[in-house]
Amino acid sequence: MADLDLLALIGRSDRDALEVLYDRYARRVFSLAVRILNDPVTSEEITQDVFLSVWRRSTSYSVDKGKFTTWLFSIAHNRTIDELRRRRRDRNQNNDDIDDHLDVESQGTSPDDLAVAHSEYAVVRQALSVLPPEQRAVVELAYFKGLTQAEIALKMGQPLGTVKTRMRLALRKLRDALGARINAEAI
Amino acid sequence: MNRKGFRDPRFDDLPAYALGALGPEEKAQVEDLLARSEGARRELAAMLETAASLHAAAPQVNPPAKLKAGLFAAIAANRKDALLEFRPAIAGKPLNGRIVTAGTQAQRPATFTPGRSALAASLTALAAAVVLAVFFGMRTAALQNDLDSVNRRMADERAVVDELQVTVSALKGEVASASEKSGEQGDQVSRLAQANEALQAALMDQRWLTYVTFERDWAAASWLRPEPDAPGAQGQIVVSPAGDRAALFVDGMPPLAEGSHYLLWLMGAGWRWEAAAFTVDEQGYARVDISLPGSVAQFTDAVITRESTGEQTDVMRSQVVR
Repeated sequence: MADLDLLALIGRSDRDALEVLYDRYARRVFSLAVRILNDPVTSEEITQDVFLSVWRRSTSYSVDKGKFTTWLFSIAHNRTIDELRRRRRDRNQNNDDIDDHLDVESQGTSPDDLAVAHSEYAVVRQALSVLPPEQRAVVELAYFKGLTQAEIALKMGQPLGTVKTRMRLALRKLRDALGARINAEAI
Repeated sequence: MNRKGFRDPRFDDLPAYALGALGPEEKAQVEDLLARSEGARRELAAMLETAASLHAAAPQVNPPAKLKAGLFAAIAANRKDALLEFRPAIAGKPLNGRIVTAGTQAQRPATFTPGRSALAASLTALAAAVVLAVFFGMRTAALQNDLDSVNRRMADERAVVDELQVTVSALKGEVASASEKSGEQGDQVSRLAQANEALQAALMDQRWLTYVTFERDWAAASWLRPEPDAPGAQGQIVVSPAGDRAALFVDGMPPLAEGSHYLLWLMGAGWRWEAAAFTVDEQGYARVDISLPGSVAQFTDAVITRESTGEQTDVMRSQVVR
């Protein structure tokens, strides 16, 4: 059953439809949160919150807003980044280990990563790997480290306009690389 | 981009918006652009799809099974509106509403406990009570601090009062001592006055004794008694052994006004004789030598008068006993 059909059922309080969506995407949501926070416990809370949002706000979604997966992972990413920034403000937790984790993954040398036999993962990793290093860096600093474009400019010692340009170029190249797969995703 | 080729600079922030890399102010500006521009929404939609696909770059990790069980257990026990109300806050707040499995009931937030609405209400009330207790506890602690501060100030004031009381007591002692000394001085003055009076009397007696001793053979013939005009006066008339000479000693006579004097009169049967006129010194003392006209036995009384401008006043009188 397509995601949108499941959403329609969820809008009628169909728990089975939510369970299908959960089985379909919970691992991805959870993995994204773990990837960003490096904290499984908080990642569980975020995953739970994301699906509670789906259960509660299913009727607020419309195709005009984009694909369901775009909506779902935008929710997951935004909430994870908010938590990361809150931690950074509070300085209660050190996420330097996440930085190291990012560097390893961006190079695709993690044995664990290599062991993950998941086509989508491999495709996206491949798409990232072909980006120029400076473009890949701005994407990873923004998406996985939660830095703002101004913070990235400061961190990289580059003008803000340069960072904006690199982000735009990186997303365009990624879309070109992932286009076929993106278009193939169920709506 | 509009017809004149102008492109809103906020379009440049759309990639960052898609990647979640904008600060609050920039994000609000972009959302304002999205609300106004269909072209911006279309451009962003494509970027969002690409950005969302990046989630797949994360190593895949299976969530614990309890997460799903807890989620659906909670949904089974709560309606959507209830979840709305009790949704755990993630953005900017700790995640305290995490759902756990039925096997970990002890960790389950009260609001998500299936079929336990009464228990949930009780726990909610308990939480409110705890909050109130904490509040009133803090308030009580604050009041206790205020009370302690007041007590400390009162103790300080009491110490000052005690010091003042000691000082006042010392001053009272000094005042009492001074008063006592003053009383003693008064007594001393009084005793001194009495001593002076005694001294003056002694001096008069000494004069008298000196005279008597000097004229040891002379005998007293009359002791003059004071009249009301000379209450402190005293006098003595002594006569020589031959009876032809006499002497008058007076003391304590009132001082005389200018132009006045005293007269000694010796009285006989139907007649009187002016024996002597005299004045007195500052102490009313006088010694007057008298040559008698005959035997002293012819006189019966002696009188001293004060004479002043045609006025005569008796001041002393006595019988002559010889």
